[in-house]
Amino acid sequence: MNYTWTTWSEIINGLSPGDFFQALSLPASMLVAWATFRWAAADSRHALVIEDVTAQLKEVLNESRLLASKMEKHYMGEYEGGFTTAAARDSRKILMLGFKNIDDRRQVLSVFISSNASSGLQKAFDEWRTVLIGDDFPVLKKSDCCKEYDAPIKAIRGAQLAFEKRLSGLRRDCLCDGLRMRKIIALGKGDSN
Amino acid sequence: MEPFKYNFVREFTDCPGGRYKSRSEKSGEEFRQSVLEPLLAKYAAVELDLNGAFGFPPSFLDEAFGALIRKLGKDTFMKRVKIELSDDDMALRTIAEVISKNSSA
Repeated sequence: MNYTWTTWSEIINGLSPGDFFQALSLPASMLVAWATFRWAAADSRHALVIEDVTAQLKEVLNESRLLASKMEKHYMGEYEGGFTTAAARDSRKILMLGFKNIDDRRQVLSVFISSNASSGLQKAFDEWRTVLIGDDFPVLKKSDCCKEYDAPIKAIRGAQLAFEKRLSGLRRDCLCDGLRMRKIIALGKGDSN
Repeated sequence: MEPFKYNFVREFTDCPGGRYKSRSEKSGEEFRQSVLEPLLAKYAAVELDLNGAFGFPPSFLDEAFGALIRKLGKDTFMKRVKIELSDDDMALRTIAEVISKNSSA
C-alpha cells in the first residue's frame, strides 16, 4: 500500500506528543521538524517535511560513509589507537553505537516517507550493515584482526556504494516531490487539510 | 516445565564475533556447538537472554541459529528455544530473517 503525504500528515497529527516521543528516540533536529510540521500552516507542511527528509537522508549518507571508513580501520586494526584488547573493545562499542544511531535515524525517517520507500531503506540498511560486520568481523584481540583485509575492505566499499546509490535515489525522489509541492503551493492550489 | 535460563552476556560474551571459530573469537559456531546444542541435549527448553551485548554480527546469528533451525525444524526450534532481546532492533530483525530463511530451506 502506498501512503500519500496527506495520509502521513493524518497519521502524524493523530499522535500525541507523548506517544511520539515514547515510540521514537528522536534526534533534536527531527523533534524540531516534527514540531514545525505539527503547527505549521497546512499548505507548507508537506514542503517542510520533504525538505527535512532530504536533509536527514543526506545525514544518513554522511554518517554511513564515516562509519564505513571506521569499519575499514577496525578490520585493519588501526582504529582508535591500535588493536590492543581494550582498544578493540572500545572501537567495537563505538562502531555498534554508530550503527544504532543510523538505524534510529532510519526509523524516524520511516514515519515521514511512503511504506515502499521505508521498506526499501530498511532493506538497504540491513544489507549494508550485514556486509560491514561480516564473517571476518574482529572481536577482541590483535590476533583477531584480519590477516588479509583486502577482501573485507573491498566488500565494505562495494556495500557503501550500493547503499549510497539507494539513499541518493530516495533523496532525489523526495526532492522531486518537494519541487512539485512548491509549485502547487505557489499556484495557490495547495492541499488545505 | 520451566525453560532453563541462560544469560548470554554473563556466561558467553558481550562482544559476539563472526561465523566460524577458526576465524573469530566467540563465534556463532562456538556458541552453537559449545553452548546451545549441549543445553538442548540436557533441557527440554532453553530461554536465551541476549540483552546487553554490543551488537550481534548477522553472520554470528545465522551460524548460531540457522543450522539449528534446519536440524530441528522451525516449530521444534521455536518451542525449545526462547529468545529474550529487547535492546537491539537490528539483531531482532536479523533473527526473524534467519528463522524465515532457514525454515523455508
